[in-house]
Amino acid sequence: MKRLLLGFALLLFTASVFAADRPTTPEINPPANGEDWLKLSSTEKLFWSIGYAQGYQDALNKIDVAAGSNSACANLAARTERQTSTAGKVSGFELVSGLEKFYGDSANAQIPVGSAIRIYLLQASGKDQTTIQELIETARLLGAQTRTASK
Amino acid sequence: MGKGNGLFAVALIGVLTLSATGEEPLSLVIPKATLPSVVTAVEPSHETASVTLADAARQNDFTAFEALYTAHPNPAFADLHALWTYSQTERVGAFYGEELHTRLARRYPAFAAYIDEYKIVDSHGTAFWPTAETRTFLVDRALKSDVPTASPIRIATTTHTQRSRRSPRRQRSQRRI
Repeated sequence: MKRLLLGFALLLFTASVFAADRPTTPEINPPANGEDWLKLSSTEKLFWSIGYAQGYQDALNKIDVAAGSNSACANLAARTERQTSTAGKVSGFELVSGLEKFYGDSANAQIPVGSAIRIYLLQASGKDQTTIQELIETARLLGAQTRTASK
Repeated sequence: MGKGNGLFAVALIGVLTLSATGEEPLSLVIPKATLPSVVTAVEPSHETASVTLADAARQNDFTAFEALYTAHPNPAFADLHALWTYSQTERVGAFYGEELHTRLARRYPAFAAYIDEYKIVDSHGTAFWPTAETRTFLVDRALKSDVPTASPIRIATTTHTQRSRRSPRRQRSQRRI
């Protein structure tokens, strides 16, 4: 009985220590939309962009490794890489500049960063302006919905 | 008595049938006295949002800033306008190099010390400075009306980024800054 009580007390103590420790644990969240993006310094934006490109490319390469070189997944990864990956297409400096331009329109502030990057890449590849504008309008709606849902 | 009941039943069925055939109920009549009285002007007046150059700059709204500046150019915001236009039109407009940095440092004595901590050195050892933080500096100066009176300096910028990528001979134009 004594052991049980001691064990229970120890459990409570550990839980309280972890609970007390939680607020001091450092935490950084990646930028979700234009509002978050504009809070970053240019150095942060640059290194985030480089990390984003590298992480994206690594993830796509891993699909090839995990699913086999001629699998449907590998083909999808190759297509995704062609369409949406920034690695090898735009430098970190260019990506930051592109996002700065994109979020220079305050109406785009709620658009998720992932969508903004995709739109920027399509723009940079010479996609027609009508399609780009449609994508922007859709992304604005998506951003507004996300914002409403998170409230 | 039986005859009376029969007539009543026929009348009831008749009434029910009529109402079931879709005859619209009469709309509610509201006496005029209970309606709110509206005094109409020629056009309803809408409160217009008066956005200033400073507001647009603070809110990172280039579209509004550009429109306002084009309509009413303000010399205090001339440098900011030129730099922001550069950042919006250049392929790598979020950063600039040594040449512009030197010019800005010469124009604003406190600038070099301020921007130093934001300097980025690339893999080739070339230094770049960010446009966003420089804009913050210029907005601050414009709001304090602490802008040099000397004529703005010039910066060479590419006019068409796509063309400049294909052609080794970059088309350049002079933009005042």
